[in-house]
Amino acid sequence: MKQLLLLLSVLGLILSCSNLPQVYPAADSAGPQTDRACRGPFPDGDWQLLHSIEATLPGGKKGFLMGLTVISPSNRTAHCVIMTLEGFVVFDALYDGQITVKRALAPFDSEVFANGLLEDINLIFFKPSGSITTSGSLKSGAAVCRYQKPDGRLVDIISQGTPVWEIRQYRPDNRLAQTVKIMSAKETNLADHMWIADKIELKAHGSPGYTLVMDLVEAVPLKK
Amino acid sequence: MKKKKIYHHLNGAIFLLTALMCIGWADSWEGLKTAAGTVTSVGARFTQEKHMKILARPLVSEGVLLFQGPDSLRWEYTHPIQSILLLHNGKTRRLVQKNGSFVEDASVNLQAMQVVVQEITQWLNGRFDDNPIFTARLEPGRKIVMVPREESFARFIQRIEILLSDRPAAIKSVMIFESEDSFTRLDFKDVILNQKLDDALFRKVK
Repeated sequence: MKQLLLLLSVLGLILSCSNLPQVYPAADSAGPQTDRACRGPFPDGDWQLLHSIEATLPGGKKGFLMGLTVISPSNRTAHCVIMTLEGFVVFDALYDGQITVKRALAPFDSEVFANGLLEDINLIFFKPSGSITTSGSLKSGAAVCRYQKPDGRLVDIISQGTPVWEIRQYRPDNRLAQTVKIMSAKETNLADHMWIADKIELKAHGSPGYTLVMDLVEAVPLKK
Repeated sequence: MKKKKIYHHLNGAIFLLTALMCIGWADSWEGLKTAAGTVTSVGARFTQEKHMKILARPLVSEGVLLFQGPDSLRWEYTHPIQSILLLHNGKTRRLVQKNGSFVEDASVNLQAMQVVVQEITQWLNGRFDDNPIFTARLEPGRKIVMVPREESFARFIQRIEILLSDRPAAIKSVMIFESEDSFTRLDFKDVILNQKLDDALFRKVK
């Protein structure tokens, strides 16, 4: 009996740590809200994006940087440059499935930083790779589309009304890993309802966690 | 009539003397130090262009630079991102405009920026050649080329080219080469020398 209670306690603890919300399948799974959630807030075509970045680090200290990202969603490649506000390049890397770091000055010179940054860029700018496992709505009523990535991790894209979205990426144990909130966005293609986010908040959960608030300074379309 | 003639001669002499001073001021390190020695403060507007191989078009920023001898500097960007870098009594602060008010930047990249801003104050003091970080050479056309002494610093900045103005003690433009793919160009305009500047400009947003 004692063993059963212990097992139930451990199970309860595991379940309480899990943040994976239940998805209630929509009656009409191809409805406009679900379709919007599945499409996500991802840019269409190639773009050169300049953001001012406010990073809140453990302890609440704030740091400010500029992020220049050239993205090509169709082939999932990105060139990412981090600069001081005065324009000095502290990090420069290419991502085309693999990461090639061209320049990295301390404290941006660790492999962990490069991997984390490219993971964040993937989450913010590219539709999740993998397939849609389920779609519908959350308990709150917000439309959701759940993707499973090839590595098994789940990503929820939640549409909370024009133009706000939330992207949640979970760890393999279904605990929340990162949350991306698209606070506001501009419609770049009215016919296809394509958006480009102009205020993004990324929160990395866990320890050490961090928060990035990215304000779009400039968006240059590169080709259609 | 005689007075008018003397006035014209005097004006001509002053013009000639100024022209000669302008020719000579950037010919030697001593000339540069002597010219800078007459400067107590500098105020200028600047346009900054960031050129990188990946950019479809350069990133353009604008701002204001204020310097008060011997070592107070205010490097303020007004567009597109508002930020102020302050150097005063050896301390560097960066303040960034967020949601209508300025927030202190506590990031570690300020250490590198401290080196850069201290370098700028050295230039504005006319001290280009006695520098522990860079070797400097004076080239024709009022150009100074600075190259890092240490390989470790060359990873941050490969070369700096400073183009001096034909006006004594003033800098016309600065080119900072970070790598083969990236350089920054700063062009200064509306330079005002020796104006009285409030000390508080180098300590806070104001």
